[in-house]
Amino acid sequence: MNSRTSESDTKPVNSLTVEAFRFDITKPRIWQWIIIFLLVVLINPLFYIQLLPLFDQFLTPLLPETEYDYIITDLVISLVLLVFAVAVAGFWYIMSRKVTTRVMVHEFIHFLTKSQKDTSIYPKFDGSRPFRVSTYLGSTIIHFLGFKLDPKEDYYLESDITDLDLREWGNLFNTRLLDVVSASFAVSFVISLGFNMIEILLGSIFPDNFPSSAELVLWIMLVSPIFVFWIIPPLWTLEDAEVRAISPNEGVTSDKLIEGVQTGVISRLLGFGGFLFVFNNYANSVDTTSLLENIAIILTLFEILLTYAGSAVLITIVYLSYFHQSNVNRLRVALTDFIPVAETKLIKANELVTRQQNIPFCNYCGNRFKRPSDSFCSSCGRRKDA
Amino acid sequence: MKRTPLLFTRVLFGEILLLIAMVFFSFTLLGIYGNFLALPYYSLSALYRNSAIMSVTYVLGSKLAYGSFFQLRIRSFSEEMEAAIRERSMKISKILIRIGSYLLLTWGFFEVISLLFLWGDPDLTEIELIEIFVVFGIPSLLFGLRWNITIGYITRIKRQGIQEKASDFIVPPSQTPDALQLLPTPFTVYRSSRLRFILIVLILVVLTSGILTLASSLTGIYLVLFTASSILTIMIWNTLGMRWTSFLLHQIVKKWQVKTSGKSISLGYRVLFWLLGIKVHENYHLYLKSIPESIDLSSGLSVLRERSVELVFTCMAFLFLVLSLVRPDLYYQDQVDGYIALVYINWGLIFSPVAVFWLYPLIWITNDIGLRYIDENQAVRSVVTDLRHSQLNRFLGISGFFAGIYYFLELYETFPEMGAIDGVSMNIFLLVVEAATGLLIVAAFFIGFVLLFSIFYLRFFYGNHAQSVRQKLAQEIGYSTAIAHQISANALANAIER
Repeated sequence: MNSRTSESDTKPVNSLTVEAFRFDITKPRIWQWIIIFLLVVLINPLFYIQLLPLFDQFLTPLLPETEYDYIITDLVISLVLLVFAVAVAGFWYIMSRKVTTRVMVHEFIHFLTKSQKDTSIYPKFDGSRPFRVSTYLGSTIIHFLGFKLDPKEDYYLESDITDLDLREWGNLFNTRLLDVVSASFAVSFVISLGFNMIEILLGSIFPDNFPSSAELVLWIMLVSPIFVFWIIPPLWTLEDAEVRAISPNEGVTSDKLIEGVQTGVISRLLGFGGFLFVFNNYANSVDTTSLLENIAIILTLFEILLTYAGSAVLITIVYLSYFHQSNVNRLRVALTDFIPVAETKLIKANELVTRQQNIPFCNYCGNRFKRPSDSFCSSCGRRKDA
Repeated sequence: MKRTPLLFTRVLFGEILLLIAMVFFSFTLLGIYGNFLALPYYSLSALYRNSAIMSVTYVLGSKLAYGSFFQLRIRSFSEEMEAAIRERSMKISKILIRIGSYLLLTWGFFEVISLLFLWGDPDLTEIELIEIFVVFGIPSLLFGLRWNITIGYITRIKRQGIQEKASDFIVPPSQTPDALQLLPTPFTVYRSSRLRFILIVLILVVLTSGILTLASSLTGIYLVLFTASSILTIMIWNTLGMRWTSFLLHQIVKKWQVKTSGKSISLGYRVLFWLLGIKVHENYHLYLKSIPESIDLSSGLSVLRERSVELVFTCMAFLFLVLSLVRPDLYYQDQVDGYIALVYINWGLIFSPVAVFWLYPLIWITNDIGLRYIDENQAVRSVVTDLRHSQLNRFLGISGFFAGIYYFLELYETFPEMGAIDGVSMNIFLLVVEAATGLLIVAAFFIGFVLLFSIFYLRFFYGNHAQSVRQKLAQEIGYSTAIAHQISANALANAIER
């Protein structure tokens, strides 16, 4: 019944293997890679069909007049996309390495210097900083994301970490792909909105045939995964590094740090509010008049989202299988210098009661004190010696 | 620890400066408003003077009270302050704060009641009345409440003695985890004193009826309806709600035991658990937290933040879903008075807490008895988080929100005088924003009542039920504590590949 506790009791205390501490990722099998690539090849044309009028408008005058074979064009585009995916995944890795490891370590150093913690639990911190790079911008980003360390809380690294298996696709879809798709969708809308505002403010700097914001969104969505390097990889790294929080009221809580990021300002902005914001922009540019047309626009947006998902899937899986592991391990190893590494265990309270018979009872309400050192009863609030 | 001898005096003076800053903030707001409308007796120089006084007093006050230039902490004291409170007798400071808070509250009540009585007086303009209310009423009510809450915090800190520290849950590598000194404690509701309870109820009744008076002339009827609905809701929640809650929690435990013994559970329960977001898995270990979080009723704000807001929005979602199906406004097309639809919303809202008897006692009790599980990744999660993120709750939230907005949009189309925008050539974004504002206004109508109901319910009925459910579940799964057993430095050094 209680497999977790009995298992942890049989283990020798205070031993840790390299394999347990290290974060490992199991890569997809070859046939799974093939299926992913075929999926991308099948889904992509739907996205490019929406881009076709734009291609006609901008690119056809530049290209020589030839007959295009549809299938070959699609294959070529998908191959280009594969190269693009590897490049973007590498870009995520290079950029997020700084954001995650350095900034989070910086945040933990700041947390330790601000709150005077018990040095018997925390590894001794001598005040030296491992990275010389200025992290002002990075910590601003991280705070904006909703990452916050509370001086009343304690943090630790889980010793026996859960590895990620990319062969389980259901889990992958629920936890990772939705993040990427929604974030890059919203970011591309925000960028197009920025262009739009610049256009309104200084109208003359753009050429006459500059795309409207509805078309611009499609163009930016082509490259939008580049722009989410500061949201997605740090979020996943923090999630997989298993930094856990202990709060004085709630005790050990596993999801606290991640919950802060998931309900932070950026997530709200990029979530429903962003969608509404964006929708208004899109609807204005198409010049709608009735409610039905607005509903049609919502459906169109979802369709774009769905067809766009092909490239996002590819980038995600390339990043996770080749780059993510080293990001997580680097953060974990860097953090061992500052916060304790511990194993989460459950202890049954009944065992505790038998061991602590010497804790006195309250004279008034008859309940037991919490600790021998308490001077007030926690149930009725009276003094021990009263 | 560095101690300053003038800690309390400093904080007191800082608070008084902050109060002055709040008054001048209201003056500044009114000045901006008056200048914007070009009212005769608002001059620009007065605006500049008021804003200057406001900023200086605010910065000085927050520096004195909290040691930093821009901070207005309401929720708790600093650790230094808590330690000082524990050591000192605090008699004079407590009396001073208490007298100040009651003076301010009385003054605020006087302003609110005078606003109610003087409304419609031909000698006074609306602007003058609002000025009285905004400049003197709101700051004194807010700061009176704030100081009253502070007294609650001080008594709680002195009563509790040494609080739990987070580091209590980390066991050093030299010790075995069994040596942790934590015992299971009962779930308690810390009641506020009777005087404060009566005060909070009075404030809420006055504020709610004040808002209602501004909106319609039916205050008396609403108050009677509120009372009737509260009694009905408490009756239903206590009987049906509690039975359903304890039944479901027992079923969760039982099905989890069935699952761990290797059998599968029936389809009906699987669907029910999927709807409610409850995960039953053989690798999980279900337990009750040995030290539950208690409820502190001395601050109405925490009840508002943690319980009432959520309840209000669920009730509204439920109501709008029902209204979008029933459509009572369709039968009153010939009546030009568009507010009849709003009256329907109000009447529905007043009785909607009855309809969520199957969800809300369940969420509150699951939260308060501390039902948790540790999964195969050794992550500790609470069942109430799953309940809150369940499919049913998500469906209620999203569809209720859209139904509400849709209801308002149709309302604006039918009764154009309610919305400022013409229904035909509409900008959908502005309309949606306006509809959402309408939703928020309805929530503001309703929230005072729900807060009143929750304070009554939590004070008189809730604690015994929660504790009995906790004891019954403990016979099945027992109390446990999740701890972090630290790995020693040598073992760690062997495990790290640099």
